[in-house]
Amino acid sequence: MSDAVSEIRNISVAAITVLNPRSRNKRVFQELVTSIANLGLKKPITVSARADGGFDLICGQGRLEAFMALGQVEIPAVVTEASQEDCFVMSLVENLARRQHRPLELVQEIGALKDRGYSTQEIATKTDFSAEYIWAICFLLDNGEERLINAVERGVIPHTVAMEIAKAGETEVQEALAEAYEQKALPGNQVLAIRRIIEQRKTSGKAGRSRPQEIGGSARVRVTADILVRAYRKETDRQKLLIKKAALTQSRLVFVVNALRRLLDDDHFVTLLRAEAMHTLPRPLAERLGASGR
Amino acid sequence: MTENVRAAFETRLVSLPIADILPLRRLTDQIIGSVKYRRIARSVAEVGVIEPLVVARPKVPGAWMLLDGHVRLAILKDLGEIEARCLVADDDEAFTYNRRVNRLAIIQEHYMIVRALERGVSEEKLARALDVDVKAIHRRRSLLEGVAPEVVDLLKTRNVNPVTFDVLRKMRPMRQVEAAELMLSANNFTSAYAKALLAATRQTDLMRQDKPKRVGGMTPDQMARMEREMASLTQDFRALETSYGDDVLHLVVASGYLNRLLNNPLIERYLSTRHPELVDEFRAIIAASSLDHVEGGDATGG
Repeated sequence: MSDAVSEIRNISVAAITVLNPRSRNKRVFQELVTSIANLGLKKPITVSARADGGFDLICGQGRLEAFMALGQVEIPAVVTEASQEDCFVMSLVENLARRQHRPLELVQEIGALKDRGYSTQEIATKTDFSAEYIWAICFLLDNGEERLINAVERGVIPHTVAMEIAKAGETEVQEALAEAYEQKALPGNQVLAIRRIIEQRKTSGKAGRSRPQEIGGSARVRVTADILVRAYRKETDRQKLLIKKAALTQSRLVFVVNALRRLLDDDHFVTLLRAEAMHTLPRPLAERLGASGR
Repeated sequence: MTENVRAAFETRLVSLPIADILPLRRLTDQIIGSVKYRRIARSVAEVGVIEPLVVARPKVPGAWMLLDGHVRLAILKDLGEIEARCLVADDDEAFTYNRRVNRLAIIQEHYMIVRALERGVSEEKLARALDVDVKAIHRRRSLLEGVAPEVVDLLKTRNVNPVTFDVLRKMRPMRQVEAAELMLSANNFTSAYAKALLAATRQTDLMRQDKPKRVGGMTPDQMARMEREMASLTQDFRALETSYGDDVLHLVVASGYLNRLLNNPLIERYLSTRHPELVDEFRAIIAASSLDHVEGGDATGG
């Protein structure tokens, strides 16, 4: 690629052809749009000028689409001249010859900003994350909670919950989770995913684990029958256990609901509850009592 | 009128002496020794540095802080380059650059490679730039041959091990879809899990029904057991997976409420005299239904 052109130009988004488009994870894209809207564009896209006055995109499809989503007519671009074949090759290279950063590595940049003396609020403004998030990440970093950082960055655990887990003992975590659930801050299946991470953290430590394989990766582990059976066992055991627990949970829940229904038919008991200001049932219970009819 | 998006950089690229660019962190030996590092180095030699490095203007002259491009800077140094093209950021945070990368999923990679080849890019050139052999390009091009369209749709933005598709195409389309759904539910796209699913697949659900399946040295006995087990399990599991999460949390909430009831001396006394059988059961439920017990403790039985 030539070094001759060093100017960044604003070019019309309509003049750009995406030679080799890809579809992408929608959530990540939406985050990119928000980030660009609030922080601005952090890097110009790269295009190649065609003879007919148009441009072929070399890299920056996400940024280009984000600009269009934000109603922009022009986008800053580094303009080079490359053959169409080179454009194809370069855009593949840009996508594939790229190191995947572990979540821990990424958030270390936040730690670095803090080390350089910035306040939580300043870092929040610089990165367009909430101060709360920045604070939680710094706390998790300081405590070597790689597993929790991974989970936060993958979107499994909200950073607020991760903080609670890192700070609190088991019972407190449980209460925090239940509370988050009751306030509809967390769906049930996510709570279970979180439980699993807490379990792993307890049994195999705070540090994270290995990473996925890449194109033509050379280090290939020989798959033995043993590994296969284990992979399968792990999954079926999880399913079996879940089925068993689900049955148990359900029967206990049914018992509680029926018992409460019986108690609420007891007028003395209801009066007592009122007197003690405990007559408001938690939402899920009230719903279950109501739903099954009185 | 739409607001203009700000450009968070200066409008001129600068050519800086590499010696004046200070990395924020050291690259570990593990990174420098990795396949990826070698591959990036080869691509830089082949097509150059595509996007400029990103630096922040120095407070003291001659010390530009590197925000993005640590690997590329090291490679340029290795190649004996003296200067590098840089973008000057108007801020000094280095978090956003990599945090906002949307990773290319394996199926998207396949489509991009196919399209590039269709448009006349030579396999050799592509292989050279990516530092893989031509065979690897062939494998990527034929990644989805014999894979059901529904499966492609299910897995299109997932980080799937490429070998997984080799395993899937041994199954008939219906079973492929089932397997893909199981993989999604377990959030496990490794080849080991795919092969395990293959082992648990009925002979009649295979593409080659005449050919007994052979999976990584597993005995026919083992595989038969897996088949039976999986058939019944999958059904039960699907039915429960959705409601279970809610049930667990409802129970925790319920036992929290029961606990408050029993901690109130007046209520406790009333219940103990009038409904003693309920109180015992309540206590058992409170003790057992902590999330810990529900999720972790039952493994030993109970």
